[in-house]
Amino acid sequence: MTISIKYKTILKKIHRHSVVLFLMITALAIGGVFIFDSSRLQFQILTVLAITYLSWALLHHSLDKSLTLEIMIEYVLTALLTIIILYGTLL
Amino acid sequence: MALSHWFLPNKHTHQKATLISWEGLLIYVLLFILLQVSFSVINFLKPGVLGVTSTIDYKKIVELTNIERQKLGLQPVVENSTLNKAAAAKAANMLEENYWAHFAPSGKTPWDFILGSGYRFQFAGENLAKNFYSSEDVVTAWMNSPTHKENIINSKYQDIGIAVVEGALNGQKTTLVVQMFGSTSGFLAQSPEVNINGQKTIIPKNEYEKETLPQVAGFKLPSATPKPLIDPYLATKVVGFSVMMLMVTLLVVDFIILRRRGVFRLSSHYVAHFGFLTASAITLLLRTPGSIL
Repeated sequence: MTISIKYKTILKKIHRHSVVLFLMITALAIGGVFIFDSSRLQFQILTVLAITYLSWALLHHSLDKSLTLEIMIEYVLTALLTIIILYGTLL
Repeated sequence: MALSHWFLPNKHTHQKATLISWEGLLIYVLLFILLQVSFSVINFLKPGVLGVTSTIDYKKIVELTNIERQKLGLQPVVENSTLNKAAAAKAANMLEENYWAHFAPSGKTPWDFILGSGYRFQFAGENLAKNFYSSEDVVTAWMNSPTHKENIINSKYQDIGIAVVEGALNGQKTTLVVQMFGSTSGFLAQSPEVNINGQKTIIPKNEYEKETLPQVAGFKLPSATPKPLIDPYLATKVVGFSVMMLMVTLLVVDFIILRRRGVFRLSSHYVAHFGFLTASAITLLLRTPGSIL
């Protein structure tokens, strides 16, 4: 019972700060793109960011109880579109 | 469907604008896949139609290389006609055998071209670049790469050879830059050494004493190719950036309109989209074409 309450509290805290956490990861990725000049490395950074973006979406909307198929498709297509555009220019 | 619904949320149902809905995103994804496939098909059917137009001057590359050396108090390298010939032979071979690498699929090595041209080096090195717009871009890219920089600022080198050659590589009009360094001082004092991408190779005696390669003796540079019609790099960059900016703008408009209407809609998170699209757009803006090896 106590463990369950603690678990819920942690999840609530993560949920409350998840947007800030994602923005911090995004800022780190932008910093990485500025620091590393290699296009291959920049592409890898953006690919990791895309995976983080999708994982974040899954976690955030699950905790928010707003996870629907349509919402998830939007995230997947946005990530896919960006990766295709970057693949055409970076690699 | 009303034109406004493509850009603005629906007045009655408050649904997202079509251009930022999942249907709109699917259309963008399919269009970009089609664009990439079209480029590959054009490269295959009409080589030379796609490509980058460069304004690279080999004299300028020698000048910029020496500026970088002088910054560190090193002696400038002197243009050497034999190394120029070796670099031109290497570039011609890359176009002929259709490869982008230091070593040819047929097994030719960078030192095959240097030795084949008659330059008996003690130390040598090779830097490659393709599809840059200007000489400055080429040297900057090399200087940003530790392994290429190592060649440019190597105090052992005395001579430089450059070739800037245009031709079709993988069906696309390409400008190749081959930069070769060398030094003949200390001749035979120790085993000859070549620096390629930071890897130092000691040249075996039997290879060092090989006769001039026929490819170097009588290589042919490709004849001048017409200006390419489309720059695939620029096309993808401009269209991609425009789509990203359109999405960001429509998301902002969507957010403002829903706030004004006082409507709650179960939807994906605006901030996450802004963050991800902004990072991607910045990466796209920062990139210049061209790659080094």
